[in-house]
Order: sequence, then C-alpha cells, then structure tokens
Amino acid sequence: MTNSIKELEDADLIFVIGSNMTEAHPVISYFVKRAKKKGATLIVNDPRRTDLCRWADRHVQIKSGSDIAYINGLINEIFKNGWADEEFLKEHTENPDEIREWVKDYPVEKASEICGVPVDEMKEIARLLGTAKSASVCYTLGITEHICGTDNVKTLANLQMVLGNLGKHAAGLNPLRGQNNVQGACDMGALPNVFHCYQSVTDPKAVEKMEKDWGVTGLSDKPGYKMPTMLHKALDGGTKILYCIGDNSVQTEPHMAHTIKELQALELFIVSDIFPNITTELAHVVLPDYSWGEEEGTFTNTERRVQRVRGALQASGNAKPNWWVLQELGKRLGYDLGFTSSEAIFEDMRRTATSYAGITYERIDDMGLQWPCPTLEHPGTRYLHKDGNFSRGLGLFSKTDWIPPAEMPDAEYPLILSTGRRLWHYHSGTQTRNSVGLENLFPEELIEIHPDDACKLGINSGDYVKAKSRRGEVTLRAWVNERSNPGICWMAFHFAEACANVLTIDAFDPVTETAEYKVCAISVEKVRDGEPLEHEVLRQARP
Amino acid sequence: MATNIEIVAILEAAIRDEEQAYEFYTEVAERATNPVVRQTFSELAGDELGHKVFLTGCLNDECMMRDFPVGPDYKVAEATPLPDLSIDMTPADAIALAMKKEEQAARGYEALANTAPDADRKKVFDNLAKMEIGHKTRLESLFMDVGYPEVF
Repeated sequence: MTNSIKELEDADLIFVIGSNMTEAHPVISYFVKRAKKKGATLIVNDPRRTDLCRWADRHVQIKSGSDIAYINGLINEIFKNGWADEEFLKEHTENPDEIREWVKDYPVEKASEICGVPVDEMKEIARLLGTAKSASVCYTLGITEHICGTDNVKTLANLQMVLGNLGKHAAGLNPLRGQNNVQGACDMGALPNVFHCYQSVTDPKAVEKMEKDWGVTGLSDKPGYKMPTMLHKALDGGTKILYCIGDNSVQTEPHMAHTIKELQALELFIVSDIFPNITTELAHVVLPDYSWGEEEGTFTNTERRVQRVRGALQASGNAKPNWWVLQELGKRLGYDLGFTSSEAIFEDMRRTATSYAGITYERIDDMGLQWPCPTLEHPGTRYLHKDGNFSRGLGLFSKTDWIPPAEMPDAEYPLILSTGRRLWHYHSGTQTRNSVGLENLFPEELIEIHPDDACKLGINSGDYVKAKSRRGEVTLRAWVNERSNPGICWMAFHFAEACANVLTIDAFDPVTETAEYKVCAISVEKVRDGEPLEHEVLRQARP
Repeated sequence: MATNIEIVAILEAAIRDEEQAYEFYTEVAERATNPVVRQTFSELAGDELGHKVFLTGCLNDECMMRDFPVGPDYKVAEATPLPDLSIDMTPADAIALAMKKEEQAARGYEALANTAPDADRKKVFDNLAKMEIGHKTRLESLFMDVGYPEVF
C-alpha cells in the first residue's frame, strides 16, 4: 500500500475494484465505512454485488476480465474533460503525452461495449474521480487473478498518476495483501528472485553484500522458479523435491487434477502444516507445524507495519516452529545457521537490510512500526512517494490493452465461473474447517447462480447440481441469487469436497504467473432436488 | 574571545565550501542521464547558492550568532553507504550522495566546534553544523521516498 490503512477514512473518494473487502479484509473495510460516514464518495467496481455495495454510492457491475478497457475508458474521459492533474503530469511523470494518445483507443463508447457499463455511468464515474479532491484506489485479487493481472495493476497506476493521486495523504494505490503476513513473507525474501527486503539476486553487488554479511560464498545469482513453474517442472524432472510450508497446494492451485499429477511426479514431497489436508495426503513426509497462536515472531501487514506476535498457547505433540525445523534440516545438510530464536533471525534480517534496520523487538513491543525505518531513531514511514517522488525518478506510464480472458463461454460451457472467498472460512480451510463454530455458520460450498440461469436449468436454491469445466466436475448445492449478472456463477475454494479449483483454468499472467481464478467457462446441470437453504446463509446475500 | 576577523575567516571558508558544492552539483547535473537526477542536482546547486547568499549576509549582520532550530535527526545518511558517483546514477543514489555530503559537512563543523579555542567560534561552528544537519534532514526525507523500492 502506498497509504496507511487509517488514512483511508480521510479519503475524499474511495475507488474499490476487484476487492470483496468486507469478507476478505474486514478490518480495512471498517475504515472505508468510516470514510463513508465522514462524507466520502464510495465507488465499488465488481462483477458481483458484494456486501460493501450496501455502503457504496455507486456499484459498477463491470464484466469480469474487462478492467483494462473500463479504466482506460475512464482515463480517456478524464483527459477529455480536463480533469487530469496537469501539474503532476508535468512535474512527476515521464511520458504523459503518450498515455494521452494511448487512451484515445478507448473512447467511452468502445470501453462500455467491452466492460458492460453504460456510457452515461462511465462518464459519471470519470467525473466523480476527476473532480474529487483526493481519491484512494483499493484493489485485490479481482485485479490480479487474471492473465492480464500485471497490466490491470499498471492501468490502475496510470489512473492514479493521471489524477495526481500518489504521494498524498489518503490518496494512493493500495493493494490489500492477501493474508496477515504476505507482506512480511515478501519482505523476508520468500520470492524466487530477491534476498530479503527486495535485494535482487541478479545484482552482483547484492550477492557480494549478502555473502560478506553471512560469511558464505557461492550464493546463486540466478532467480528461482515461481510456483506454477515449480510445479510444472515436476512433470519433466526439472523439480525433484518440493518442501511446502503451510500451503494446501492441491486445493489452492488452479486445475486440481493437474496439480495432483504434478505433485505425484515429485521424487520427494515434504509438507509442513498444522492439520492434515488433501495436500498432506500426497506428501512423502509430513511435519507438524506451529499454528499462528503458538508462533513467536513478527507479522508485517499490508501497510508495511511490522508487528510482534507472541505464542499464546503451548504447541501440542511434536510440533516445532518452522525456523527450528529448517535449521535442523540445514545442519543435516552440512550447514548450521546458528540461530537460537525467532528474534535472532529478525536481528540478522535487520542487520543486513536497511528498510528494517531501525526495527527491533523492543521498539515494537507495544505498537508496530512501518518500514522503511532505516535507523533506531527513525519513526517509520506512513505513506510512500510523498509529493510524487518515485523510486525510478519520474513516474512511467505503461501502455496497456485489453485482452479477453483465456477461456470464454461457448455452447458446451455456457456460463462463466468466478471464484473468491467467504467471510466464514479462510483460504483452503485447513484452519477454519476445523472450527465447529465456523462450520455451523457456513457448512458447505454453494454455487451461486443468477435466477435467470437457474430458471432455464430448472434449479432452485438448495438443489444439488453438477458444475463442470474442461478440467473437472463437482457436485454441490445451488444458491440462486442476484449477486452476479446472468451468465455468471460464483464459488469459493474453501471446501475440498466441492472446490472451485477443480474447475478453474491453469492459465497464468506471464509476469507474475498468477492464475486466472476469476474467469473460466463451465456448465451447470441439476442432479436432484435438495432442501431449501438455511436462513442464516441467505442473509449473507442481503440486498 | 574570538575577534571579528577570525569569525569572518570561518564564514569565508564556509562560503568557499558552498561554492565548491555548487560547482560539484552543477557539473553532475549537466552530465547525469536520468532527468530526475539532473533536476535533483540542479536544485541542490541552487540550494548551495542560497546557502552562500545566507552566509555572505552573515558576514555583515552577524546573523550566525542566532540559534538554528534543530529538528529530529534520524541519522539516515549515517546508515546509508556512500554511492559511487556516475553519470547514470539512480535518483536514490543521487540523493544518497547529496545527503552524505551534508552529513560530512555537518560532522566537519562539529569537529571544529569541539576544538574551537573560544565560545564565540564554537558557537559559529555549532550553528554551521546545525545548518548542515537541516539540509541533511531535508534530503533524508526525500531519500525515504525513493531509497527503499519494493521491486520483485
């Protein structure tokens, strides 16, 4: 996030796109609701009517996978009406005249045809954005889980630079990171191409520095594989061993049948997790892991705030912290990292990376600190790129063009399936499916289907249906509602017994290798009658 | 007690330092390939001219005898390695180089203050050090925006 979470409540306008934040980021949605109460304009852009729409001034129901056309159309309209921040463009961007020309390919009429948003509505959204004092954009996986996810993000960055909405209080570009510590994992270098704190492995100076700091030689200067490539290469022997920590890959990767084949081809598959799941079933070795309530260390949240985490419970059985297990493994492979605690690892990290250098366990004992925080005297950094100062110098606009999703409906598979998360369950359910209370609140996966489609197929809410794609099929109950437009179905991936990822397509963004979880083609047919759904479930789709 | 002549000599030396800094930044601004680096160094050169004007004014009205306000010193420059000077340096390296120069200038004046033979000269050096720390702090604030990119 270029802003802090709390700043959102001071925004003049909040533009939420591809983010079901009340279910997936409920704490952040609280600040958005506070902004709304303070008079902010809230625009929610989503193919599905999420709970946040109840708070929104506008719900723009764009077609799934049409974001680039929609946003470029808005930018074009902003330029046409003189709403661009010309001073920001002149002072802080490198190629404003280029984007001025590029977006002429997306007159609002053409963009409207692609994204399904009426022309007048698009013009009004452009006016709201263009005349707002400051606007904050929040986006999540509805933007990134497409084959054009990288270009989707670049298009949003273009929009915010055109509007001069970067480097200001309550105005920025804010990806809401997926889990509590995705930011921390990335900061720590759990990526194939960087050491911790984004020191590139292809930069000889970074390699030399790390070798010196760690007292080793021969660190690789070649990026590793991203996860889809890692799995794909299992089939041709390029990946022989996979050590998987706290990731239920079978359930979370797209095209489940293919994922299983890839994992079965490994020579050695090690999984570390807190409960058995459908991935541990395929493992040669399963290691019992600490849960978040037992773990000691830090989490870094989406606003770059490093926070202390303390074990509240004693881990049971043979469970060990991951750092300890990895260190023991290192010893057996001939290298002792020599750490004695999670704090010792943190100290090593901050010693060797400047953005964390000023953060110590003592300083974050009560309250977290936001990086960059390079010295012990520094108070941390609330928002980035103040006054339009970018790391590369001037902001660079990127040309982006709309492409259709990898798989669109046809006669055989006439419906679109989009996927996401529900409030009551977390990710693949390894934790929440083991909670009796949460299971009672939402005990089974349901496929959401529009009444028009349900009527044509003779389906009522609660009926058992078979959802089928070119990659597999699942049987589950239907939930007939108007959250999405006709032609679009929706499922989550929390339930192994009826998982959306049996159906999803293994088509990936070429840069990030993120899968297109948000669009694939399916068919739905009724299997048998079922009992009507419980009232408590229906309540979640309140208008 | 220092004579006016001695204090004038200190100020004249400080003015020469500012002139040299101006020349350095101007030269780098002309050679740098990155437009933001060119602009940053041009602005820094302008700042140094401003400092020279200020110090020259001090020769006449003894304004150096007043206290400079001291803001928080986060010591970012001290924690940042000195980058190599090159025509294709990044904006972050350009700002890092400038803040390191301000840090060196501040430490130089502090050292002179610590060895000053009398209170008057110590005060002049202390104030010059505070002025340079103010410049350093402003550059450090800029550096925070560009020096820690999250790129992967």
